Amino acid sequence: MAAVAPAPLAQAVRAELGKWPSSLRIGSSILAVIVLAGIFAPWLTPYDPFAQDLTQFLLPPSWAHPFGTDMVGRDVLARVLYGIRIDLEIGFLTTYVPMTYGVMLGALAGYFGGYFDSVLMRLLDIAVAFPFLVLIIVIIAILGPGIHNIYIAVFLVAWTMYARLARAEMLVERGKDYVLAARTLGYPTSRVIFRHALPNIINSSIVFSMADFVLNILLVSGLSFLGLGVQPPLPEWGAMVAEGRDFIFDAWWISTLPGLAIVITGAGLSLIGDGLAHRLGQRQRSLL
Amino acid sequence: MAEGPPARKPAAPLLAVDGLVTEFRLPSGTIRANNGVSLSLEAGRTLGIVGESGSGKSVLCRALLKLIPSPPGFISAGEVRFDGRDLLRLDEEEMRRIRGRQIAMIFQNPMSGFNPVWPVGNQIVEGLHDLSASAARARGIELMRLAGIPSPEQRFHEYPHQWSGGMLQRAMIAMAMAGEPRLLLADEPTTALDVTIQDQILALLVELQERTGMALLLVSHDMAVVAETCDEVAVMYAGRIVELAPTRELFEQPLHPYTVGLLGSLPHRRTSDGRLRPVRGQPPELLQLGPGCPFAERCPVASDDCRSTPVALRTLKPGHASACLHPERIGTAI
Amino acid sequence: MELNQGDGKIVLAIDSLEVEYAARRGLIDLLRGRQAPRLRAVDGVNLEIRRNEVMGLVGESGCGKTTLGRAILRIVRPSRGRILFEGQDLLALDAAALQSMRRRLQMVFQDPFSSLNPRMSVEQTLAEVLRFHQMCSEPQVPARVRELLSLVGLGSELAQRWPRALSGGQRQRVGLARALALAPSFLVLDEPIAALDVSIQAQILNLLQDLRLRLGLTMLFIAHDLSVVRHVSTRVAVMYLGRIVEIGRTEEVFEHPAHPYTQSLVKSIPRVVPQRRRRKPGLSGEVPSPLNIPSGCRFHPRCAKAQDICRRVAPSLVQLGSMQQAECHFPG
Repeated sequence: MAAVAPAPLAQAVRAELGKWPSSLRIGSSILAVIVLAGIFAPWLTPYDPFAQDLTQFLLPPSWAHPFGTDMVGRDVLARVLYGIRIDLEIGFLTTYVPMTYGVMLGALAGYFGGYFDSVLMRLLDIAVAFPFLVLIIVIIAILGPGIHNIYIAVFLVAWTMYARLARAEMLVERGKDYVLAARTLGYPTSRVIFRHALPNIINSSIVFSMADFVLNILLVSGLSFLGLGVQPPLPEWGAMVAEGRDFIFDAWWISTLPGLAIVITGAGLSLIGDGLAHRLGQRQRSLL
Repeated sequence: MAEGPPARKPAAPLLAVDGLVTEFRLPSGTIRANNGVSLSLEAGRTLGIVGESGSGKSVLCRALLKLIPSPPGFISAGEVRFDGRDLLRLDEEEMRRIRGRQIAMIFQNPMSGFNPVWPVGNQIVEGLHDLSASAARARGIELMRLAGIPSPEQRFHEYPHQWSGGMLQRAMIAMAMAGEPRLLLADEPTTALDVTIQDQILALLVELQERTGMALLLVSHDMAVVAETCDEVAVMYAGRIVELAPTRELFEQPLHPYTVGLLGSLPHRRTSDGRLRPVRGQPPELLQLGPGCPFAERCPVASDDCRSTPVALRTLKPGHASACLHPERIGTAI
Repeated sequence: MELNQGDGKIVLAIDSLEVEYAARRGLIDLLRGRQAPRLRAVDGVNLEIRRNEVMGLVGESGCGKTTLGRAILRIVRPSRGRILFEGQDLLALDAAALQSMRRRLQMVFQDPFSSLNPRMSVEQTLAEVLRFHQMCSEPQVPARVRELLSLVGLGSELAQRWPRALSGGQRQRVGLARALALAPSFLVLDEPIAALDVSIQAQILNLLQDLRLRLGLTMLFIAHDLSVVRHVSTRVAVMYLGRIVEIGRTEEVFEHPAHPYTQSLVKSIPRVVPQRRRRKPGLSGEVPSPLNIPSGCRFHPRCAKAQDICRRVAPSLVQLGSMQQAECHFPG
C-alpha cells in the first residue's frame, strides 16, 4: 500500500462535483452567491437598513442607491441584502427543525409499527385534513402575529410530511437484509434505526426539504405581507413587498426588487432540489 | 447412444440469425450486448441458450422481436431471417403482425407480465381481435386448459393477484399460444418458480411443442434445465456465442473452456474430493473488453495469443462449433 | 473425509417450535373486534443439529424454512417452543445474555444486493462489528479487517469500496466475513447463493466448505435448490407447510426418499442428463398457502398415495433407518 492517494478528500470532492447535474450546479451557485451576499452585507452597502432619511425618500435607482429608496428614505438594496439573513434563517428553521423530528418520528413509527404507529398516523390524518395555510393562520390568530408565533405554528404542522415520507421508506427498509443483519449482529435498536436504516431513508426527505424551503419562505413572506408575520421595520422581503404596495405605480422598485429576491432564491432552491433528486436517484439506481 | 438427434431436414431453417450486433450507447461508453451472434433454428426443434447474467442472452431474445428500448439500444448490424424474411428490415407495423402471431415470448417474472386490474382470461384472449366475445372466451378457456390451468371456466374471470406464480406462468404460456406462434421465445421461464413448479412448466413446454410443432428458444442460466429440454445448446459469454452443439455432445465433449467451467460448477456432478470445479474470477466488464477472447482472463488454458487474437465461432465437428482458439488443450488441462 | 457427520454433541436443539404471523386486518374488522387471521409459518418443528454437521433445510417457497432460520437468530419471535443453543434457551435470554450469544450464532443472508448497508464501505461494515463487540483492540482493527477479507478470498484493496462497486459474489463474501468477524461456531445460511450466477455459486460453495473445515463451523443451510443442498449437507430436513416431514442423512434422503413429498421433490430436480425429457412432472398441484392448512396430513391434497386416514389423522414421525425419519402414514 505504498501508493496512497495524496488527498483522498479533495479527490472525492472533485469526483462528486463531476457527477452533479447542471441544475444542481446552477442552483447551488445561486444559493452560494445569496448566502455570501447576506454574510457580507455590511461591506456591500454603506447604508444602514433601518436608517431613515426623510430628505431622500422615493428616489429611483441610481448609482448612490442602486435599488432606490423607500417612502421613509431607507436604502432598498441595504434592506434586501440584510433581508437575506432574515429570510434564509426563517426558511432554514421552518424547514429543518420540523424535518428533524418529523423524520425521526416517522422512522420510529415505521420501524416499530404497532400502537405508536397507529396513533401517529391518525395525528397525521388529522393534520392533513386541514389546508396547511388555513391551519397556520388559525394558530397565528390564536397566538397573535409575530415571527415567534409563526415558528410555533409551522413547527406544529410542518413535520407531518416528513414523518409520512420517512415512515413509508422505513417500512420498506426495515425488511431489508442489511437491517436484519444489523439486528443479528447484536446492535442495539437505536443503532439499527439511526445509524443503519436512517441514512438510507433520508434522501427523499432531503429532496422534499428543498421545495419545502422555498414554500416556507413564500409562506412567511406571504404572512408578513398580510401583516401576520415579521413586523416592521425588520427588512423581511415579504413585509417589504407589502410596504411598497401603495407606491407601486410611483415607485415600483420598493416592492418589485424584494419580490425579485424572493423569486431568485426560490429558483435557486428549486434547482438544487431538482438536481438533488436526480443525483440521489442516480445513486440509488446505481445500487441495483 | 441409442437415439441420435432426429435427422435434420434440408429445408431452410425457420429462424436464421447472422452476425447480430446489439449495442447500448451509454454515457460511459458503448456496450455490445450481442456481439456478432449467429444461430439457426428449425421448426419443431428446441435451442437452449445458457449464460450468466450480462452474457446477452435476454437481450438476444428481445432483439429478435425488435423490443430493445431505443435509445440507448440499437441493433447495429446483422440479419434476423424468420421464414425467409429479414425482420430487421420490417417496419413497426409489419413487426407488430409478427409479434404474437408468428413469434411469441414468455418472460421470467409472470407477475409483472399481467396487468393487475384486468381479469387474467381477458388478457389471454386480448390478441384475438377477429373473434366474437363469446368465441374468444371459448378459445381462452380452451387455451387455459391446454396450458394445464384447472377449472378454467371459473378462473377466466379472476385477477392476477389471486393466482400463484406457477399458475400465472401457465397463463402467460396460454397467452403466448393464443396466436399459434411458430416460434416461442422463453426467457428464463422457470427461474422465479419452485423446483416442483419448474418441473411442471418444463413438461408443459415440451408437450406443447410436440403437439404444435413450433420451434422453441429456451433461455436459461441453469445447465440442468437446458439439458433435458433442448436439442441443441448455445453457450453465451460476454455477448457472443462461444459454443454451439447438440445437447449431448456439449455435455459430454465440451470444446470451450467456459462450458467446461459451467459444467464444473454444477453440484450435480460430484468430484472425488467433494469440491466443485468452477470458473475462477468474475465475468468481464463489457466496457473494457480487449481485442482477443473475452474469456481469456478467466481461462485456465489461455496463452498470450488468446488475449490478442480476435476469436470467432468455427465449426470443429459436424454441428459442433466453438470460439476457442486452442480447443485441443481442453482435454489435457481440465 | 470432507463431509464428516459431526462428533455427536448436539449444539442446537429446537423443540416444538411455533412461529405465527398476524395477517393484516382491515379497519372494519378492527372496529368489529375481529381477530386478525393468524398464519402459522412454523408449526411444531423439532430439530437437533450436531457439532460440525451441515444440516440442509429444503422446501418450496412459503414452507417456513426462512422463518425457522430467523427464529433461531431471534429476528422473529416464536409463539411457542424452545430453542436450546449449547444448552441455553435462546428464547429465555435477557438482552445482555442474548448479546453474547449472538457472537456464537450468526447468519448469512440471501440477497447480496441488500444485505450490506449501501452507506458503509466494506471496511466500515467489518470494523463496526469488531469495535462494537470489542473483538480486538482498536489498533488491531485494520489488520483484523484485512485478515477477515483474506479469509473469504478477497484482497485488502476492496476494503475501501462501497457495496455498489462490488459484484454479487464479492458482496456475498463480505456478508460472510461480517458474520465470521464474531468468530461464531454456528452459521445459519439462508439461500446464500440463490441470487448468484452459476460459476460464482460454485466458488462460494467451495469457500463455505473450506471455512467449515478450517473454523470448525456447524451450519444450517437453507435452500430451495435441492442439488445444492445435496452437495453441501451431511443431513437434510425437508419442510412442508411449516413442518419437517422428513429428515435423514443426505444420501438416504436423496437415494431412498421415504415421504411422498420428498419423493416428488427429488423427482422434480432437473437432471444433467443430456436427453430430452419423457417423464411426467414430479408433483402436480400448486404450492399451498400456510393460511389454509389441510386437515390430517397436510400433504394429502397433492399426494398420489393418499388414503382416507391421511385426510383425517395427522401422521406422526416414523423412524425408518438409523438416522432417517418421515412424517407419513405410508412411508417408503
